[in-house]
Amino acid sequence: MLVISLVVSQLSPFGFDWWILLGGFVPGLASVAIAFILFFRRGKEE
Amino acid sequence: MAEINMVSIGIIVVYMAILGAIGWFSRNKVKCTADWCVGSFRIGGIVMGVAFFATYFSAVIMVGFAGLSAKLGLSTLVIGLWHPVATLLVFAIIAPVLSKMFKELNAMTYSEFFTLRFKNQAFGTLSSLVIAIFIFPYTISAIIAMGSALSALVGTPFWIGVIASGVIVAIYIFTGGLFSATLAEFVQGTVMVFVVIGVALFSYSMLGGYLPAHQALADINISLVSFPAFGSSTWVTIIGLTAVMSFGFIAQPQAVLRYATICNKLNIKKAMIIAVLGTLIFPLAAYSYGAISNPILRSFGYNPATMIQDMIIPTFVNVALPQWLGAVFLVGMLCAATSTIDALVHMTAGTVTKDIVKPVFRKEMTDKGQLRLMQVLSLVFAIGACVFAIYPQATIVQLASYAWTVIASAFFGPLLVAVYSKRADWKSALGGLIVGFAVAQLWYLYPPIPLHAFFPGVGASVLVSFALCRFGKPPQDMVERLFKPSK
Repeated sequence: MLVISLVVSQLSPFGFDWWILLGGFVPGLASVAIAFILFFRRGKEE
Repeated sequence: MAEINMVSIGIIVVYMAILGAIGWFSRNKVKCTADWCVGSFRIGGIVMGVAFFATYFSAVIMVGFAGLSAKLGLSTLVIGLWHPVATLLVFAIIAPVLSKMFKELNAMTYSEFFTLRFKNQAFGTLSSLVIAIFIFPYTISAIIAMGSALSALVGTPFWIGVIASGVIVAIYIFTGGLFSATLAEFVQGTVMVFVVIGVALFSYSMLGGYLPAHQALADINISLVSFPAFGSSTWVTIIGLTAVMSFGFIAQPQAVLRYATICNKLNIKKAMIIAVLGTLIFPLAAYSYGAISNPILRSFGYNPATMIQDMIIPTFVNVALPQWLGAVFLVGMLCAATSTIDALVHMTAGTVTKDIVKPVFRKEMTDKGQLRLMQVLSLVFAIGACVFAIYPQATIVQLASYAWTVIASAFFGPLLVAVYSKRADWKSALGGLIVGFAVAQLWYLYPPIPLHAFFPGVGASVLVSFALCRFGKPPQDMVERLFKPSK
């Protein structure tokens, strides 16, 4: 149990591997942010 | 058990009544094939944005892929988190150009778009044949997912669940075509997002919250919270499914019929926001409860590692969730399954009528006659897929992944050159279709290295299509018509 807890503490603050955060959450959330930027920027142009 | 059955059956009856009402409401809107196939390009961005992700995600995600998450753990979140990336590409880059072309050509189907764009009926008919044949396994996978879940949740035999799904879809597609399909998908998409969020939150709360739930996963096996090692079989599976289920959707005909038929540019932007949010939230929630179901099922004496993948989530819902949430899950699952099945049935019926029957067998067929045939074929395809689904030959994930890979590999290249290359002609598109299709098939059968067939298939399709454009003799009037600068 101690060993597992130590390993989990080495993971990202969300309790899973950094690769899941960097390879999944970062591109996923970035695309949402870009969609909003495009929406408002093009909205202004029009 | 009898009580939950009656509640579930009551839910199904109410759901069928709502969809029947949508079909009835839409019947007067459909007077010609343009209404039935593309909603006469009058459908707005908010409805189409929800319809896009409702079509994207079916019970395949809620049941099949969530079951995969139960086995592989949180690394499967990566598969879902790339969906919004692909959706952004679709609406920001492809949809504005493609929808303009669809309207300019007055194309009613994906294949008809190719026919008109390249001025070649043979290519359009060939593409519609590929679509009709290979969209079928995906339709079957969606029906199997619904049949499995219905049998586990309601207690009815599997075949009754399968037939019920076919009947539900037939009710409203027959009358309303794309109007009723997108209207139904708007309702279904909204409901299914709330359902998966609810199930995910409840699952986490059962284990004491976010971090304790992940700790429980790590306690079983640290691999359930880790990304698999580079080159391992699990790594190959996750990277392959990420590509197929994200970027593979871009070239799927049922997706194109949604993002290319939105009424105007402003509505494409509205659809982009809705669809990107939907494609982020829905799979994130579904894959999360899928992974978390592992420790919860173990506390009930089940071991997901040894269970049939497609039965993990129905079992989880049955044994671990309270009855009211099981009923809510059933509603979401009905919405997710039918919203995809309707899109596939609608698209296939339109394609076969417009691009095979009329040009090859009945050239003089009137618009009214085509509309009638599309409606009849939608019934035939819904029932036909049910018949095959009763005797499943593979898992839901295998069927869905196979169908998406083959269709994406065949059409990625032709779609891109049709939209972006002034030099593209039917030969460049045909080369991309044949090579992409063949490479994907061969790679499936004889993989030389452990890499998903999507990568070589789509890569070959795009490369060959663009390479052949260098020798293309495109119809000049078409180039001037489609690529003239906007005023």
